[in-house]
Amino acid sequence: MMSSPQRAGFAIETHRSRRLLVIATLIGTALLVSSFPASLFGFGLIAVLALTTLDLLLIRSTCGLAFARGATLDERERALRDRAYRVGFGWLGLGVVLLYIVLAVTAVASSVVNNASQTGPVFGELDAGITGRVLFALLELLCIVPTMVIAWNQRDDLAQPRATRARGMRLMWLALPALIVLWILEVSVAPVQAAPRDTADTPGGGGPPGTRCTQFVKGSVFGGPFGATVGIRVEVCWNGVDAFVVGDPNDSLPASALAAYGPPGSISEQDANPPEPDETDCGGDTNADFASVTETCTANIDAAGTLHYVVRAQVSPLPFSIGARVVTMAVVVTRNGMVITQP
Amino acid sequence: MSAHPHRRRGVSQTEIAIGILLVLMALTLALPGRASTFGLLIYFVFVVITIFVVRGVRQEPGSWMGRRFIRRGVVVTLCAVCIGILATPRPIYSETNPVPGTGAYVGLVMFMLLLNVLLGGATQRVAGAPESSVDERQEALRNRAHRIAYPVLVVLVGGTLAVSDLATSQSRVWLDATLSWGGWIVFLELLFVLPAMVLAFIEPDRVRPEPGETLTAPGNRGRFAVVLLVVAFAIPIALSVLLALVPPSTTNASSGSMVATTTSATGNQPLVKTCRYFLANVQVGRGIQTEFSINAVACWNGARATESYGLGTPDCHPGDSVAVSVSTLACTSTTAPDGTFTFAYRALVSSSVIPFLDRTVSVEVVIDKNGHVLDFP
Repeated sequence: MMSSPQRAGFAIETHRSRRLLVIATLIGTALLVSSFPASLFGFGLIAVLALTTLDLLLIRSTCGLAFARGATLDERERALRDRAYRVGFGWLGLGVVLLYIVLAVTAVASSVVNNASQTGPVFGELDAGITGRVLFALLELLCIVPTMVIAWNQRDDLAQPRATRARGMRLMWLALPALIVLWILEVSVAPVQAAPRDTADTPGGGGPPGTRCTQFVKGSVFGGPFGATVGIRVEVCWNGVDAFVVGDPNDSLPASALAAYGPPGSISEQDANPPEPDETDCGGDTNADFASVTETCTANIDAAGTLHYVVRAQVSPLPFSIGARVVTMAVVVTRNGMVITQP
Repeated sequence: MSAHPHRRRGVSQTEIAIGILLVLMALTLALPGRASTFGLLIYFVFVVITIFVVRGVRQEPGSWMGRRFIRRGVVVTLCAVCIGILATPRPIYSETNPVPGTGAYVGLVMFMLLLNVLLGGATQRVAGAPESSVDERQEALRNRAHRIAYPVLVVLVGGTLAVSDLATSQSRVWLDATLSWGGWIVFLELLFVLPAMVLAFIEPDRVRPEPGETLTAPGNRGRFAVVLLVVAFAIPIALSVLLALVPPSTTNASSGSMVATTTSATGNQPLVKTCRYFLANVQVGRGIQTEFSINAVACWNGARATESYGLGTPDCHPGDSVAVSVSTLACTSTTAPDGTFTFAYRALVSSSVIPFLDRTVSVEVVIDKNGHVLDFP
């Protein structure tokens, strides 16, 4: 058994504490990838930094053995490291499967809970790639699994790292401020990208009798998966007199649309225009895990019966609107269904 | 009398089971309709048995697979196949593509499986073998292969995920599509086979046998595994050829005429028309197959023939399909000025295994104004 007197008092270097670190990292990764809560409300970076800190502690507790070059290792350490990579392949496969199960089960559970509370499904309709939460969880697993294997299996104290590795382990803590700087730059400076509708999704339903309808689904991505996505999802119908929004009770149907159901009073506004989040949902495709998003949707029908539907959103990576960016998306449709403006 | 050195050995239980499966498969494929889809289920059982038999064979690779450049060629080809799978677009359903094509996807996956078997043979499946079955040298070698393979996996998988998710909206669309199509296959391939690929890449040429010394001849189990492998790959290819060459089989029936009475639009004059029930089923292919069904009623009154139901343009779609893609080429449902009703549906049916093996299928129903059936499958 190799001992390391200099590090004997360091709390994370017992076998038990190393295993606790592994368990904490796995639980943290599973929580990050799960759909509970549905949004991290801009605090995603805190979760990422916490997981990164656990990773760095794991690397510290294993003396960075998984990342050490062969020349700096003795024969026993080299064998231990190589075996950890082989076992790591199995752990990685198992980990990805478990993450997929957590993601699927919590997404369905979240959808059921939201449907029960009439707030609609959580599934987005945009081709916005994979979310920052899932991407980071996968990258986290890929990068740290061999270190986890070493931390889990190694009962003995590991050998004192040589000078080069010891210096590297001090420098690795710079990863935390580097992550913060990269994230601020990405959310504040990176160009805005469009997110089209997922082609696998089918368009929404119809409107009142005698109307024709079309759905608009589009989004803008700020700073990629580690920023925010602002979406617009609206079902617009027209009847020759007015163009109007259906599927959102916050936007009232015009009198001409209600008249299609029969004489006044034959149907209530609530029955004629029930909430249909699949058709219209203000913020339904918005992802605010890594930056806070304030979003408002307004629908106005002018005197000519033309609908003006506008989504305004402010994306703020930092408190007090520091580095905030504003996006406006509009849909303008005439009473005859002519699309004047769309995102 | 001394025993003959090449005396025939007995038939094993596995061989008997395989024989029964093949007979059952042939019988079910010969039967029309859905019975032939059971043949495909039997095929999957056959494939599973083949996998177990092939995995159970541990023998020295032959002179070809013992050479490093051949093994490296297999590895490079495997990489190219993975890229091909990632580049294959996800099938998208539409009215003209009721059973969307998978392009070369199925063929590429099958080719990938074949290459995996070759790679497994070349490396004696050391990468994934149980610890008890490898010696100290093999253990060290495979651990080293895993250590080299892991960073490659991180760069390939992590890099692809991160770059495509960050770069552009088009790359994100591709990522979304591939994660629900070929991306998972490639990920699993890398996860399970990448260490063997590294092993095949880094291992030197096998030592040539001394003069007079020969490589161990493949045993009966090895030969049996090769036969099973050939049959496993030959069956879907043969069924694809059948799809293109064997004419569709048709079963049809139609009821006797029945008189229907309705009233005119003004409501004071009864309209008498005669209707007939039509039922037909056109099966294309065996095992790799699809079917087109007609389940309809058409009517006529001496002035014109019309569709009552089941012969409109929404009825231009195939029924149960297995490993094929179907594209609609034409679909019409019209009554001519002389009162003749025509329903014409033409579709291109392609094998998903070999997409260029296809067949055009026409289903036509023509009825004149007096109820004479001029064309029916």
